[in-house]
Amino acid sequence: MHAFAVAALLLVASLLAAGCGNSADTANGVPVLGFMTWRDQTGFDEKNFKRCEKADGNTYKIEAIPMGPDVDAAREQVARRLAAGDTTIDMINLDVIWTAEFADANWIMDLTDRVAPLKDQYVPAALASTYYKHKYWALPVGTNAALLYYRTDLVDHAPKTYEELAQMAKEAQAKQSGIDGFVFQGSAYEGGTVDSLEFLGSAGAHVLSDDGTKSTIADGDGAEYAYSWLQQIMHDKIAPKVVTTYKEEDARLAFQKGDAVFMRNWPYAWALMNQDKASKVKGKFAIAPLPGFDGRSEASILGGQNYGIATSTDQPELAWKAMMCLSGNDVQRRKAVVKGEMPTLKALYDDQELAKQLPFLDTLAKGLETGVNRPITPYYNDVTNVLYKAYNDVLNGRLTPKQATKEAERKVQAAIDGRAEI
Amino acid sequence: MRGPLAFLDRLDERRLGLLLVVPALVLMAIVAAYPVLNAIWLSLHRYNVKIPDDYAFIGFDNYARILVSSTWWTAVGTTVVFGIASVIVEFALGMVMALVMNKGLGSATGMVRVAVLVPWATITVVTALAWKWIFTPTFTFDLMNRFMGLFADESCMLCGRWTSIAAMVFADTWKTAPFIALLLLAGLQSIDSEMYEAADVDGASWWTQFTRLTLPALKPAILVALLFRSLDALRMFDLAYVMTSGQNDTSTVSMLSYDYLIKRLDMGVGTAMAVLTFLMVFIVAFVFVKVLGAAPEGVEKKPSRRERRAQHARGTTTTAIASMA
Amino acid sequence: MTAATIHQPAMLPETTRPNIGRGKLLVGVGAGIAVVGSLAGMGALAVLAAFVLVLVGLIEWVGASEALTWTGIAALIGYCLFPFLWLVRLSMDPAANGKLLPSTFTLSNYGAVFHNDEFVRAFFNSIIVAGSATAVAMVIGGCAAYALGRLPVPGKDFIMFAVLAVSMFPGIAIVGPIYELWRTLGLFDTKTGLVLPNVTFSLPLAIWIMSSFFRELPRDLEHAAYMDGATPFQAFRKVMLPLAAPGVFTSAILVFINTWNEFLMAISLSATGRSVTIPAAISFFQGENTLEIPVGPISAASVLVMLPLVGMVLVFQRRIVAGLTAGGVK
Repeated sequence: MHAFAVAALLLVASLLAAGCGNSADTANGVPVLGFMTWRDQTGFDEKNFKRCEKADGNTYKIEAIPMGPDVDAAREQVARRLAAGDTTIDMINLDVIWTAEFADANWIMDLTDRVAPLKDQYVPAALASTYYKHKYWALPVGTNAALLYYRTDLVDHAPKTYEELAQMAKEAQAKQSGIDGFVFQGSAYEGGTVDSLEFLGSAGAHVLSDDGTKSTIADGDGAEYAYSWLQQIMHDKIAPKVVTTYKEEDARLAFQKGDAVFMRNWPYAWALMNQDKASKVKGKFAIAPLPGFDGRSEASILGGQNYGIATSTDQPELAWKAMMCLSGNDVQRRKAVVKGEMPTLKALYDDQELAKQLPFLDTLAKGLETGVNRPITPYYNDVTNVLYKAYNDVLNGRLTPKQATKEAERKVQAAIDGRAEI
Repeated sequence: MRGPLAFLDRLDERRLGLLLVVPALVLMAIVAAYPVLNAIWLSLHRYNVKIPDDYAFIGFDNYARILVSSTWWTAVGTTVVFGIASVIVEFALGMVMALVMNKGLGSATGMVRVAVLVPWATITVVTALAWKWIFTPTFTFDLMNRFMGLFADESCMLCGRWTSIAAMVFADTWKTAPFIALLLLAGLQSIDSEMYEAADVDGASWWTQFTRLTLPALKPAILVALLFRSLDALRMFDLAYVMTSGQNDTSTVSMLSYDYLIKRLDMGVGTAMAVLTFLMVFIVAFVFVKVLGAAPEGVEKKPSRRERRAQHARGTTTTAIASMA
Repeated sequence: MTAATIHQPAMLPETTRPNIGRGKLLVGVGAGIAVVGSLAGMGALAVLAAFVLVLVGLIEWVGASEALTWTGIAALIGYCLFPFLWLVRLSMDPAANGKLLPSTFTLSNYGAVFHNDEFVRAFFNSIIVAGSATAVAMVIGGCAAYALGRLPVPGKDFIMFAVLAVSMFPGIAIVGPIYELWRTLGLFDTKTGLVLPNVTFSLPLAIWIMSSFFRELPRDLEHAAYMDGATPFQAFRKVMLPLAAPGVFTSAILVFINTWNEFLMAISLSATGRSVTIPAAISFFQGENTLEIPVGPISAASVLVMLPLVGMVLVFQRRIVAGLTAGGVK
């Protein structure tokens, strides 16, 4: 009998143990704000939380709920939890592309009353990413535009156009065998969409009409031109075959090993490649704004983060207070230096101190002026799916530029009509 | 026995038996049967968890959308090719391993057993990561790079559809072949050595012995193992999720369903895909069982013994394979 | 000729094989080249050639058949352990770049793993989830196995079929509705929410193995117990259960390993440190920078989570094999 009793006890105990553990909404009487944000191993966020809690007189306590490791996975985790009616989440670190979807799903609060009075303080493009259906849904806290990294020991200036880039890369490759000309993000994922939108935009192609109801990628010859150029650099081995699997870090690792002449990447790579022990390109590279296509256009696509308040919260006032502190001048400045996430506050771009620490700040500010957001639509998920697939198929040579353009046009239209092809 | 469980002692064998099975049945009903029925029901609806108000019965619309989609059929292609290739390779390699082990390992027995069990016990996610890196030029060794260079441009195995599938087959084989070898070894050891002696006396070649004696004896075990391995391959998820994350058209049907169910929270389309996956698995299982049912009709003189052995072997393998899932 | 000699062929008297000395020499030279070669990052072909030398040497030394078996066994062990060893290598120096051996021997990545709160929590979550799932599956499965193995249960064939069917279920077919069900019941992102599906999908295995153990026990045992005035239930727990303990133990090991490895449910039904298990945590592992893929720490984490399993395999190898081929041919 003992065996049985013990087993039964164990069973009950284990179920009980498994059942408990719901985090409380208060800690020592102080309300807890659940903040769904990127997983941070560095302690950087934690320090900011502590500072803000103290600055606001310990009226709240912030508890990070981690998400990641990449933007697709993060969206999936947030969405799954919000849909499951999770009430522990009060604030969310939103990627710029989530605004419309989350607003439509009624997961984030309308913050127009709070954000509109502050709007002159922010970089317009960053603020635009929080705007949907004539309302502001979030507070812009970080923005980013990609940069062109180039090796100063292999080329003497930055190319102004992609055509020039290909030419320069080819010449550099001829001089130094085994080196790749140009690395970027070619994998079929969100980052691939950003890269592809930059190429498309630079060639004059736009994915959606201004009112967001029409798929316009096939208007004009922009898309075909950009896709053809991409296929050409693959064919000429200016970009290595592996670029079709590259994400940001793959590109950075290749570049910092000294394996590439040019790289398209976000500002975060700058600090890493100057600090990383394994970096072989310290002091041998420089940055420039992204090129455009000859006689066509230039485009830089913005990345970045906004803070939103979850509709399930019962303490929106506190959440707003915490958000304001966490996105303040002080934190943005430190974040720019430490994490390579660029400020959304206009004032910081005129800051001499910061400019000294981040020599590329000027270049970046230019990028932000011409920067555009990715299409803001509740069907963004489906749209991006189409875009990165078409792009990856082009790079892999599975589709001709013409086929890819046509297919993308058809599928994007279906997506924004709410009946995306599977 | 006293206390609340005292009534157990008043039960006869029949009632006690029923009572003892009930908890298992209830659990399987709640966590397996109900969800499947629920999935079938949901698959007939337009339902995205994000937009709970937009819920409507739409008949077979989801299925119609899926069945005309090239993405779906690409995933079916990937799944089937992966399934067939991995099962064939695993059995071939498993057989070779079993034959090697059957030679008598002497002092190496324990070591081999542990070595063979390591892949089996390895978390699939870890398996996938290890092989992903072994198949990635920057994270692998020179010889591997040369080997991959035979098949892929710039040794980039994970850059193309077929080479990616090959890499997945490779990884799956590593995890499973040693285990299949164990099963086949158990079968091999059960074959009377007298039979081989008789064959030796008759002057039968090694190959004749293998095809006439070894294979038929192992047939029941092989068939059941084949069935379960095929089912596993058809529902494969974690390996592809980690190794390729569906890049280059390497999504399996399970991954595509996951994409819709969990990533997009589109329960309608997602459950429809899941039901189709379930149907695929069911059809394969049905065909196999038919084949199996037809299998044991004896050519041998002692049917009773053979049948008993077949029964035995089948039970063995069924249990063992179920543990693979 | 006896049966035994068939399995130990080719051990001819040494005098009939005159090339033993040369064989030993070849093996030594070949092995030397292989070791030095791989250390020095020598060309792949040279290393291959070295292995050929060893093989030829072995054939001359111990005879063709033995040599092939030995080589086969060595290749088998090497093949089975290689990915594991490769992870160990990457955990020290992730920038492999074609080199077989790491350029530095450092355990710093292991330290990083231990300092990763989420990972440590995942480790304990895994222990709790796998542990309780195993315990529950043993109790429920053990009862069912006894009933199906030895008692006259009505509709036994149907039940066995149902059990078989559950083992064939694709997990994906139920994960959506379970997510729906769990979010209404509040079981989403709880350990209980992971234990339940894990128990269910472990039941077929547990029932099969244990019922085959129960079936092997002689029928007389119960009769004897009944003679002594025991009720069927008493016969079960006092006589049969202790005797089937090895079977219960074996299936517990297998169920534990299966649950420890489960991935689909883990990533679909968990979200935070509250319930995330090891396989999910590994796939979520993140570096210091948001975009970084930390190969070193992930390898280290993978090695660490492998250790308990390798340990179990080492200790319980016989039992595991017995369980896998349960009821198997003696």
